[in-house]
Formats: sequence, structure tokens, C-alpha cells
Amino acid sequence: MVMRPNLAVNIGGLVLPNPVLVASGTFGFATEYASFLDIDRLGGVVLKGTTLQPREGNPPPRLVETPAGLLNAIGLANPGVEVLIREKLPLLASLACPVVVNIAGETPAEFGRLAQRLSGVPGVAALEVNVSCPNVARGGMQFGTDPESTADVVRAVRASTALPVIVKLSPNVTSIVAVAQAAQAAGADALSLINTLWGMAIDIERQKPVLGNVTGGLSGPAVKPVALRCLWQVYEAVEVPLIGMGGILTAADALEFILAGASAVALGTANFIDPGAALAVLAGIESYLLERDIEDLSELVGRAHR
Amino acid sequence: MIRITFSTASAACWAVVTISKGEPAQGAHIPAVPVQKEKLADGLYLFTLEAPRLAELARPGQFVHLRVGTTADPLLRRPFSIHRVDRARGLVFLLVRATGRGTGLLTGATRVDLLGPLGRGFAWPAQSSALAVVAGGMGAAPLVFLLQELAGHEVRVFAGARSGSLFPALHEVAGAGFPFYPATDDGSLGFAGSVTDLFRRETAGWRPDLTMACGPPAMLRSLCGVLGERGLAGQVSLESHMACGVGACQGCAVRVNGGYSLVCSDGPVFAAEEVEWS
Repeated sequence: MVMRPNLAVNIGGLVLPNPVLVASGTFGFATEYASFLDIDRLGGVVLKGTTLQPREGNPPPRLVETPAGLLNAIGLANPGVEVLIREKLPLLASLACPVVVNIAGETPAEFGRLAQRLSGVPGVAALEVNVSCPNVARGGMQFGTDPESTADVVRAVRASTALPVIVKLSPNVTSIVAVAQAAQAAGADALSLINTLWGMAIDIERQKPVLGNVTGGLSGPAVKPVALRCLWQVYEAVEVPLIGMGGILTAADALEFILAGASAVALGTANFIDPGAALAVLAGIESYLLERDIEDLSELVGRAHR
Repeated sequence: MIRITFSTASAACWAVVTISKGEPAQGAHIPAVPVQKEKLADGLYLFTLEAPRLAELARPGQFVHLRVGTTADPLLRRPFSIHRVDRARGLVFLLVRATGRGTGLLTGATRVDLLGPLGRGFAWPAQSSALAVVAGGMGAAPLVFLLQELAGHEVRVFAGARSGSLFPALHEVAGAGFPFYPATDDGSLGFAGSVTDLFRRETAGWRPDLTMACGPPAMLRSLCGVLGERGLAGQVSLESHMACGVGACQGCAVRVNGGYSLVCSDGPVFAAEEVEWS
């Protein structure tokens, strides 16, 4: 009998049944995808960025397709943390896979209040701290592009919760390593990277920016080499586990991130192209391990560095 | 007068007949649907999909989200409204205008990967004395399906085009067996002018219980104006670029009833009085 490899991973206290998550903002509140795939089989679901108050989001157009990529400027449209707790999380608590709530505040204190409010709520397995959204006027990437500001936010969250704290990093920085180290020193249990690359597109007929918000965040296969380089550098500089993301469409893409140092991966834009992509990636990773007689996924993590 | 309202409409509506908005879709992912293509005109194709379950589930106004290639570029799916269905033969028809690189790629495929049916379609009262259906150009495509389902109702069909050399879908709405009111910009067929002006003229002495429309944004906007002037209930089908198609990414937001709604999952059909035109 062939032994199935161990795919379970521990991400700073967050135990995942397998290493393939779906990324924040690309999977709604999961129920939207219920008729398209078996959500229970995912490694985990990271929910849309949640703020204290409801946010209606940016004016349209909010999307534009680019070569092998997608620019979005949604603007953290979400119903607010109270609606999340009252209407969304009770349904999600019954999922077999862990649910991570992505939180976004405009001040460190707001991050702290969000963390406190979500602690102990059934169905919340961990928090992902969004210091990297490029599409909001206040907060978001403002924090994540500066090591000190990142540390302020992470400390506020750390002091407010016992849940595992994952800090989502922005690639729009001179040194992602400096921000990663600041997040770790301030108490992050894990890091996820990368958020989108800050970009824009111009409509040459209207002679105006395409996006209602002027600028947006680039995702999809176009950003994968940048994401991989970020992950590689951060792996060499920190001890905490990493969740890799940025343009992953296939198991081969995911394996590149794992070999570069990711303990788990997340699919984002891929969900729009194929709702079954995350499960296909999971199956591909398992096959890769079986073919090479690798008993535990952890043996692969960071192997390209050795 | 019978006023149609939606269950989600504002309290200001005084409802004599209340109908619920079209049910949300429980779409499925069908990765390899056999498709046959017929070229109707330059850049215009009729796709015939062998998809019995989709044919059975689909409602007029709903759409399917098609993957257009197998590589990363173009990346996203493209939404297409359902043109008509043949439930007995398990067929679903789409009108595909190959305008861009994505839709151009589709015309070479023998199988398509689709999500559907998606969105909330048109919803009309089971009992009505009169219904209006208004088509503008390519917007006629999904209205052929709607007219299929409206058999037995008293319906007047209004359709606008640039010229009398009509777009194929307009031939189909014309041939649906209902009184047909064409309007052409050049006056070569029917009323000379916009379909909205024709609709305004015809509704001076005739009040449909519900008007259902699809067409370009400018046409729908002026139609919503006429419906407002006349105090008539309507439903309009909107278009948007989309990523997910299922309500997850929030990319296809439009202003409706004081906030943002999503074309893919709250629509694409919206109550005419609730749409806020920018």
C-alpha cells in the first residue's frame, strides 16, 4: 500500500489540513463558490478584507484585464465586522477547513479593535493583517510600506488577540525583508506574501485612467516572478512560516513557492479562471510528493535554498 | 393600475402585485461542453452548446461565463447572455460577437469550459394583462429566450437597430409571434428614430404591467427615463466587465438603489427605477 504523504501544515499555530488556501478578496465569503467546488477540501479560506464599519468600495470601473494579469481597485468593499460575525461566520463555522479573517484598519487602534472583536468568535481560526491594500486612501499599503508603521499595527493586533496573527506584506517597497523582519519582531506568527503590485491602465480612446480609482493592484501570472523573488528573500531573513501567493495557477507554480520557502500557498486570481484550481493544485502537489517518495511536505519547504 | 415591485424594492412602492426578483443561480462548472458554431455575419456567431442541465436550469436574463483560451493570456472568462434554449434537445444557444482577442479565440474552440447559469434573470407576474419587451441592437440576444418563456402572455415587442438590414437576433424577436414594433435610426424599417421614442409614443395610450429590456447603456438609460415619466415598472439587463462572475470579487459594481450592487450576482437584471445612471 502506498503511503499518502503528510500534507498538513502548522502555520504559526494555525493548523491546516493541507497547504492550499484561497486568498483574501478572491473567494468572497466562500458561500458564493459552494456550488462550484467542495470547499471543505481546501486547506483554508481567507475571507475578504474586513473593516470595523461597512465600506461600499471604489467607484467603477473596478477591474481591467492586462496581459496575463488583472488590475483591481475594489476598495475593500465589505459589510463590516459586525455583519461578518452575525451573518457570515455562523455559516462558515461548519466548514471542515479553517477560516482566516483578513482585517483592515485605518489606524493601529482600529486593527486592535478588529482583532479583539474577532477573538473567540466561532469559525475564526486566525487573522490576516492587511497592511498592504493599494486601493484605499487611508491605512492599507500606507502601513505596509514602512517597517515602523507595520510594527505598530502588528503590536496592536498582537496585544488584542491570542489567535494566530498572519501579516500580509506588500511588494511595493524597496526592501520587503525590512518590513518582514519588523512584522516578525512585533509578534507576527506568520507572514503571507505578496499582496498586489500597484499599477494602472489608461484608456486611449477616453484619454483617461481606466479604473475609477485611477490606480489598482495587479495580480495573476504576470506578477508571479516578483512574488517568488519576494518570498525567496523573506525566507532567508525570518524564522516564522510563510504563505506564498502571487499568480499561482498550477501545481507547478505552487511547488516553486514551496521550494522557495513557502509552508503553504494561496490561490487568488486563479479562482476566477477555474473555481476548481485550488483543488487541482492540491492534487498536483500530492502527486509530486508521491512520485518522489517524499513523506512530508515540510521536506520540500525552502529546499531550493539548500 | 397594477404596480409591480420587487421583494427587495424600497417601501415607497405600493404593491398590488408583488413578484420576487429572479432567484439567484445555482450554477455549476462544466469544463468541456461540446459546441458547434455557425457564422451568421462578419464577426457574429451562433454557438450551440450541448448542455442539457444548463438548458433545464437557465432562466431568461441569466448568463454563462466562458473560458476563452487555455493559456494565461487572455486570462479572464467572458460573460455571455443566454440567447435561447431548446430543453427537449438539451441545447443552449449563445450569440457571440467576436470583437476582441478573447471572443476571437472562442470561435476556434470545439469545446468550451463554462460556469452557469449565473445571475438573476427577468421575473414577471404569472398573471398579467400586458407586458412590453424592449430590445436595443445586440441586446436582443437574451430577449429571444425571454420571449420563448412568455408564450401565452400578451406581449408587445419593441426593437431598435441602426438600419433595417437587421441584426439576426432582431429577426428572431420579430418572429417570436408577438406584435412587433421596429425602430431604425435611418428610418429604413418601421419608426424612424430611437426605440425609446417609439416606446414613449406607444405607451401614451397603453400601459404594460411590466417592461423588460436589454440594450446599450444609453438606450437603457433613456428607457428608464420614459418608464419613470409614465410611472411604469420595468426591469433592465445591465452589462459589465467581470472577473469571478459569482459575486465573490466585487469587480462588477453598479450603482443601484443608493449603493453598489453586483451585475453578476445581484443582476444582471435590475429594477428600472432602482438603477442610478452616472
